Parts: sequence; structure tokens; C-alpha cells
Amino acid sequence: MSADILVVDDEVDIRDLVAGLLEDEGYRTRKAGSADEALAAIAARRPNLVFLDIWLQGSRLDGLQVLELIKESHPDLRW
Amino acid sequence: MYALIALILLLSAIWFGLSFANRLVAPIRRMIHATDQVSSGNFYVQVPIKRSEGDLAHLGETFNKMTAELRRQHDGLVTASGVIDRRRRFTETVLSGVSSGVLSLDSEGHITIINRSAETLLGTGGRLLGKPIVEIAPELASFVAEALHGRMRQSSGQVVISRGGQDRMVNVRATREGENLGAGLVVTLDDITDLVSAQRTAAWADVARRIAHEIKNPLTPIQLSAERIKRRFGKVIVEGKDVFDQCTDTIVRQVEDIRRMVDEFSSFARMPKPSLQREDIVETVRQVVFLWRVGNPETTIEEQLPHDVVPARFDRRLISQALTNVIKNATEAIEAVPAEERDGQGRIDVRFERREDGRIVIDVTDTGKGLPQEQRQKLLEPYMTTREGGTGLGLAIVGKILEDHGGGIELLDRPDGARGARIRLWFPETGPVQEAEGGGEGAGHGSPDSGRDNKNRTSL
Repeated sequence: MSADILVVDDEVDIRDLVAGLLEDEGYRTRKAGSADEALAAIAARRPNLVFLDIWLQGSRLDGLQVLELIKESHPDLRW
Repeated sequence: MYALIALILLLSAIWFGLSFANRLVAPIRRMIHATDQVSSGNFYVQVPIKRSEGDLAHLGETFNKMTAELRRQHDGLVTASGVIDRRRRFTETVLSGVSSGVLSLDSEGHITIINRSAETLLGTGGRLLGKPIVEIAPELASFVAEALHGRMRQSSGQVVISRGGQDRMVNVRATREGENLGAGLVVTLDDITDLVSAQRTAAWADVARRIAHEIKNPLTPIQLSAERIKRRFGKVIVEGKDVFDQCTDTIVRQVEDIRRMVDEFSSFARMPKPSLQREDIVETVRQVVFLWRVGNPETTIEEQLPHDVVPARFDRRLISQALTNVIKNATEAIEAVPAEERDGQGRIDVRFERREDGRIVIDVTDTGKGLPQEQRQKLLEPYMTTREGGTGLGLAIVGKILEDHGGGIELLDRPDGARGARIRLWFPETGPVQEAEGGGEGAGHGSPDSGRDNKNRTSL
């Protein structure tokens, strides 16, 4: 399986761990540390799955706002 | 012939003389009579004035003026006495109604006046009037001495007064009445125990909230790391696999423990308002005991509940939680008894009573190690535990839940004097006095930190 999963969390440890766990299971992963990075990564290539931290401290938008934006631009995405 | 005329003349002279004398004496006699009347209390008597009597008439006028003055002064005194009486009754009523303790001491420190609140605060029973204050309340001695003899005429501060096993924090103010050295003192006592305790609870709730948040953050990476190690290497490790498993399992388990503790702290800091419903309180108690018995078959727990339904207004989840906490405490108290001293398995009794005044009372009595004699009230404060590994929040949470229901918690000894304790939970069947309305006060007791809670709520 070469699915592409995007992991979004403001804390690097959690990002690395979640991505690492998924890679151990054989998935490909990308990481984003803020709302803007996440939106850019989604725009560059649409992932199969997004792990989205709800808080995203220190980011321009919080997780819930990012979710709203993603839903608007990709209405066919399940969430 | 001349003898007869002489006799008639003599008789007429005597008659004239007598009547003249009479006329002279009459006003004096009238005045004597009037004086008698005044002396027996009649101030309304007046002497008739006849102009023709000259000096005596003047005397009569003066007499009348005197009696009028006497009457005026007498009436004035009666009125003033009535005013003093009413004022004294008013003062007594005020003093008896006021929640502060008020005492009046003479210059030797003996109690001359004491109101009911002061008696309750200082009382050891028996009459306190006339006793020296240093005998009744040695804690106040230094304040009294300073106010009586010091330059400032006043002395105030805080002191702990212990009576009947209870410690009360009291604000004392002693004021000397006048400039002269012979003046007495007025002492006021304000019980601020509840205020201090509430302040401490509120401060701790804030700290608890913040710490909880900070601690939860690193827990996730730690747990994830341990789980990742297990998954990645668990299958490939051959040598020392038991050590590997033990270590990773320990990490995961301890993280779970920390998370649980943090959740308990959070729920204390963020204590939800009771959502009150009219339910059967007996059924709730019965279910709690049943669940406990099922989950802890090794403890003996007996309940004494009425067969009929007892409706009350309360939050079933919160009261269940409170009761469960208390039973848990009882179990731990029993376990804390060293094995040599234990006789039998240990026993918990849950007793229910609906009192005539509408109070619901639930007693949980155990045969555990008992409660400390001194500073017992401190157990109700957060972070206060006599148990190893205890968080110290259990009883504080229980206390707050009961207070939010308009009731309270009491820490008592066993009535039969044996080792163990009785925790009494009570609340009025009508629920707390004030209705909570989306952020207002939740209980008659008015938890002071509930207002803060609502402003500073952060989800954790």
C-alpha cells in the first residue's frame, strides 16, 4: 500500500511519532507543523488521509478552522 | 348694765379675734394640705390664690410654680427612662442577631456583656458573664492586654480558636472604650474559617487547572514512543524479551496512571454544576452500594435503606460519585489498618435517613484506621491526604459536590467509640437554595470559585 497520509500537529515529537508509526505499517507520510504548511501540502498533492490536530497552537488558524477550509475546497473529502 | 355691755364687747372681741386668726391661718393650712399631697406623689395639686392674702398669696404662687416644675421634671425623667429602656432592648436585639461575636470587658478583663455569637465561638458551656476573659479564651489574652495597656488603644489580628475538636480562624479586634486607664474594652470576633478555606480552594483550583494542562502535553509523546518501540521491535527481539516487555509495559502503565491523576485534578478544577432532577435518592444509594459490592467482593458492605421511595432534588451522577468516593475512602482506611490490629475483615455500613426538617443524611461508617483528632477539617482541603499514593482530592471533591447541593460533609468518629470513622453526607431534599442559571451561583453556600470557573473555562 502506498497511500499518502498527511500528519498535522504543532509538536514535532508527536508529528514524528505518528508519522513513524504509520511508516512502520508501510504507509507513506508527509508532515506539516502549522495551518499554512498543511494547506500548502494539501494543495501540492492531495493526501489520502489527514491526521489533524484540533488545537494547532501557535498557528495562524486552529485545527478546526483548517478543517473548515479543507471541507470548502475539497467538498468530496470524507471527514 | 355696764357689765352686760362689757361682756358682749368681750365676746365680740374674742369672736373677731378668732375669725381673724382663722383667716390668717387658712392659707397656711391649705398649703400644708397641698404639701402632704405632693409628698405622696400627686404633682397636680395647686393652691388657690386669693389676692387679698398679700404675702401668703405670693407664697402660694411660688408653691404652685414649684409643683409645676417638679411635675415637669418627673415626667421628663419617666420619658428618658423609657427611651433608655427601648434603646437597651434595641442594642440587645442587634447584638444577639449579629453574626460577629461581641464582648464587653471591664478594665480587669472580666466579661460584662457577651452576645450569643461570642458564646458559641468561645463557649465551653456554663455561664461566661463575669468570668475573666483569659480563663475562657486564653487565645485572646495578648489582644486584650495590648488594648488595655498599650498606647494605641486598639489591638487586632487573627488567631485560631479550638473548641470541641473544631479549629476556627477568627479575626479579633479589641478596642479600649476611652482615654482614661479605667476604661473597659469592646472585643469583636469574626469567624473567617470558611472564607479562608474557600480562598485556598479557589487558588488551588486555578493551579490544578494549569498544571493539569501542562502535564497532559508530554504524556502523549511518551506513550506514543513506548507503543512505537513495542510495535517496531517487539517482534524482532529475541534475547531479553521479558525485560523489553516489562519496561515498555511499565512506561505505558505509568503514563496511564499519570493521565488518570491529571483527569482527576481537572475534574476538581472544572467541577460541573449539578444538573438537578427530581429522583429517588434511596435508589441511587442502593445502586452505588450494589456496584461497589460487585466490583469489590473482598470488602463487606452493608446498607440500611428504607423500602419506600424518597424523592429529592439532586444530580444523580454527582451524588453517586460523591458516595462512591466516600466508600472508596472507607475501604482504603480499612486496608490501612496494620494486619496485627485487624480483627475480622473490616466492614462498611451505609445508613440512610430522611430527617424531619427535610434533610437527606447518608452515613458511611467503617472499621478503618479512623480520623485524626487534630486538624480534622484540613482533610477536606485539596491536596490533603494521609494516604500514601493518595491524590488528596477525594474528600475535597465530595465536599464541593455536597456544597453545590446546598448541603455538606461531616467527618465524625464512630458513635460506639471503636476504631474507625463515620463520614456523613447531607443535603436538603429540596436541593440548593438558588437555581443555577448558566453560570450563576450553584448553591446556597455559594461556591466562591464557581464564578471564576465560568470565566476561565478552558477545555483540557
